[in-house]
Amino acid sequence: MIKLQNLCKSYRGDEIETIALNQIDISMDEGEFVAIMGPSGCGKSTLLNILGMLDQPTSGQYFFKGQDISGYSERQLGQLRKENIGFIFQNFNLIDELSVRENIELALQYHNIPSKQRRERVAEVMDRVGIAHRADHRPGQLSGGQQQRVAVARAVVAKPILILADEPTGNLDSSHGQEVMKMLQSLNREGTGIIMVTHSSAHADYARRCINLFDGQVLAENLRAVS
Amino acid sequence: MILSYITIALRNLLKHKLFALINIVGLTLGLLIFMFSVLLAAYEENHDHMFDKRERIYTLASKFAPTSGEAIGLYPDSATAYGPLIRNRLPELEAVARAVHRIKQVTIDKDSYYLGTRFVDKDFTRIFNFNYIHGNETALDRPDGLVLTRSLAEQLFGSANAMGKTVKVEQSIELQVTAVIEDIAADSHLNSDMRPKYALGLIASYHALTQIDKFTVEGEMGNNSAAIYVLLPQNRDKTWLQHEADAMFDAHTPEEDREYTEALRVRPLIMSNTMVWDAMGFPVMIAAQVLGLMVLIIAALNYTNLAAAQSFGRVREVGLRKALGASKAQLLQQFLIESLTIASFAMLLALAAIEWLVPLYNSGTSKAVALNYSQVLPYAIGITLLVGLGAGAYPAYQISRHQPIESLRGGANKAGGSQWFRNILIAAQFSLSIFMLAMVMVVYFQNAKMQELSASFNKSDTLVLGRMDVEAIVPKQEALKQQLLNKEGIAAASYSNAVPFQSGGYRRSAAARAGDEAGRFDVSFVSIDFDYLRNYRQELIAGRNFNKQRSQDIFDDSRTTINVIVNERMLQKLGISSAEAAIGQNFHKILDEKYPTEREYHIIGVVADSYFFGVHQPIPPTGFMVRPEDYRFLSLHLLPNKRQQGVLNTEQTWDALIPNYPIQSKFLTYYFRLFYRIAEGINAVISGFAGIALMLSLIGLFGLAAFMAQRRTREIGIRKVLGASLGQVIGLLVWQISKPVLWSVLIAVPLSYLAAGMYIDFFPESIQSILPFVAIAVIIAIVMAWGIVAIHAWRVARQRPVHSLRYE
Repeated sequence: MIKLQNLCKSYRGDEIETIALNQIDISMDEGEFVAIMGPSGCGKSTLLNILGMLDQPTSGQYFFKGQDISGYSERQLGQLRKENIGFIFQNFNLIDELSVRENIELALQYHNIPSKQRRERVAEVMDRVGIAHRADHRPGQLSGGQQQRVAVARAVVAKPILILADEPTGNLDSSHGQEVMKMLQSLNREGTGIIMVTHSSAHADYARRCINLFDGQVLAENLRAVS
Repeated sequence: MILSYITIALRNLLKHKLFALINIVGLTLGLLIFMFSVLLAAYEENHDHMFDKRERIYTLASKFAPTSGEAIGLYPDSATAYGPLIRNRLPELEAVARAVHRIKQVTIDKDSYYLGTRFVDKDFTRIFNFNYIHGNETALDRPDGLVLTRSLAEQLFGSANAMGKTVKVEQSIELQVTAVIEDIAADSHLNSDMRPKYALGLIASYHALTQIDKFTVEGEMGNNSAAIYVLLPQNRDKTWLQHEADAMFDAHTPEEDREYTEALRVRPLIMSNTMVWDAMGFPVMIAAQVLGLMVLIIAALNYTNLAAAQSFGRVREVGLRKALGASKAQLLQQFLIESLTIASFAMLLALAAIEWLVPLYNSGTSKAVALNYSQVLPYAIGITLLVGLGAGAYPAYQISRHQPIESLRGGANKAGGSQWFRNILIAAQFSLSIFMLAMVMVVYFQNAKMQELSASFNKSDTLVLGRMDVEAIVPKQEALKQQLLNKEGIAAASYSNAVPFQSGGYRRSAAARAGDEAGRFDVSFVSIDFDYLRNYRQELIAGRNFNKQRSQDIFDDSRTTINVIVNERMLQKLGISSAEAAIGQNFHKILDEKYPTEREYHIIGVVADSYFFGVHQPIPPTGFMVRPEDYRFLSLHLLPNKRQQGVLNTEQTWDALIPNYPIQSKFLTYYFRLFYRIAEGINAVISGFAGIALMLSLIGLFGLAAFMAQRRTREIGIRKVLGASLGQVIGLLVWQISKPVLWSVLIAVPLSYLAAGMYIDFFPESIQSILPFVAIAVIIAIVMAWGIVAIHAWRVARQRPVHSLRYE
């Protein structure tokens, strides 16, 4: 489903050019669970942002569902992203002014789905992540674990084929972290592809495959025994 | 400590250049407009400071009766008879003097000029202490004395030393220069620019006037042309003088004159200059200052709003300061000093701009406004403190009140004050802008309406020659007209005693039946020649024009019945239903002591109503008659494509035929402008103020939009990640700012409706409806607001989502 070829990303500063990603070649099948690991600054988040079409590579090719999208416009990327990808962030990225329900519904608002259907889908997904009882609360009134459950709900409500998670457990204690990982695991078992950046090798064990990055290059790629 | 606050304030300005620019430019404009309007008002209200006794000098003004038919309520001059009357009644007055201003032909050797001349009682020079270069205050004690200003003496005689020189006035009397005085500064009522050639130049004795015009030393009741100055003794005040003036008025004013002037008003000399404005009944000076204040308020609101918004970005700094031990008071102090720094900076810029503007204004208006720092500085400092503290108080309070931990955590959403409060500020700002914009349009279109009403007269192709009533010119009238008609560029010529907008002619009481006192009304009569109506394209709707062949068509004092052509308004007064029915009907003069000759007016034609006497008053019932002895003006209708040639030919013909008298020619536009320049002036002032007010509001809105977009950057990022399109993000931001702008419509619409209604009430003929203009003002304001916010939103929204998400 995804294939990166010779992908590079660099940032040009005032005097120096920082290379964030250097000749990355990765591919991933539909429904796979991939973990990306590596020390801080190795390019994990940059890679994830490019995979999620939030950022564009400096050079190289990115095939998504067989199409080279490296030359796509912002608009085309937006459309593709909307239809296929859900996001989970380390800092949740919920909108403070909206309630839990509204935050989740936001992901459907841009999909031309009738409001009745939208409400049903939101209710269903809230039940599923166990946040229904806080539906009318604001993110600020929830614990970190609860916020991340809202974020997961928002990521899956539009039924994407791929979820990108950037350190989804980074801001959570171990039990809440565990909870979120279980959720991702069950989503993956239902066929949703997941790419997750993490620092925790315990959480990386949930993935079938692990890619290790170092200084913007793929250091190792290994299959893991699925727990 | 304070120095460090100022340093931080300056660093902050440099760090946020856009906001700093918006804040400073906005405040500078606001302060500039406000200070300038106050300066102008102070200038106009503080005239005549050069006269030592000005605190004790008063004038007697006329208060017109409602029956007078005058458009204004108060007139600076009054009947010439009141001067001697009050002098005799109150011997304790230190001095009383009349001054009658006339434009007279003045001849020195062979050169003639038309100069504004004041004919005054001899105490005039004792009331006003002039600086004498030659002679002294006794100069006008002799009836043939003449006082010149230095510049006039230099213009006429080549030097200030003109003592003893002879000047001939109106080719009939000789006066001798008995004193030369220094010029009077522009800010004296004696130099008011509201009347042509009014500036102080020649001062002659009142006695001289009695020799060349129909004036008598004791004065006349019906002749309202004297400025009467009274110098009160130290122990008397205005109330006493008003009381005495009322008693004198009651004792001496004949009944029929009270229908015109109903009372005398004692006014301090200081108020003489602003009298024109007072007389109009429209508080121009106050309006200018209020508008100036409005602009300043808009600028201050802008500042408050932006500063409150901006404080959001400094929450962390405040948290840190608090953690290090800063008290709430110290933080408050810090932020107030910052806003004071910005206000002071803006004030300096505003003063610099005023320094630059004042000379421009002076050269454009022949005024002498001066920026006197000893007077302005305390005021400027006061305003700076008020604006700095007033506008800075709310943001300073907002930001300093948080708990340190909240601030350190970046309790960003709580900083910057409530959205609600900021919305109120935007709404207030926009209400004022919409209000001013609506007023500009109403004033502008009301002016346009007046122009349109006056359009029946071809103003720019009509050249009016004046002073045709001078004795030596009268015998040459017919020859002049015939010669001019043969010249290239001149299509038509006609004589009259009044031209459009110049408010000439004369008024008589008349009624449908002879002696019907109850049914009397005033008729304005204009004396014209046979060609006048045709040349001025005044269309006859019934009857016939005057005809040279019919002797009854020419006024003859010995005949009782006179043929007249009247306007439609006259028919209404007479109760005649149609123009056709009016032909052959008569109406009658109401006799009184002054006009005892019996007169019957026979209607031979009816013309459509026109704004002959100006648009400032309702069209009066008007009668036209052919009466050659009245002629004062010759109207020349020039061919539009040969106008230059026509003017040139006119001047050459005049000089050849009437060499002793300089030609007095003006286009009809001149008379129109003379009348409407006050309205035009008001329009210019309001437009300028409103334009700046709207600009300020938009600048503020831009700043606020920038802030809002910045504050919602992360949210925009999230929404884009979730699939929001560019348009959807822009819509979101535009809607956020729309709410307060829409509130402002609710405030501004009724407000402007009321104010505009008051304004157009001053005109007898006004624009049909105010609402469309208010609506357009609203649309302009909203569209511009949306436009500015949308442009900004677009810039933020088109960034890649990863940039937005990384923000913070």
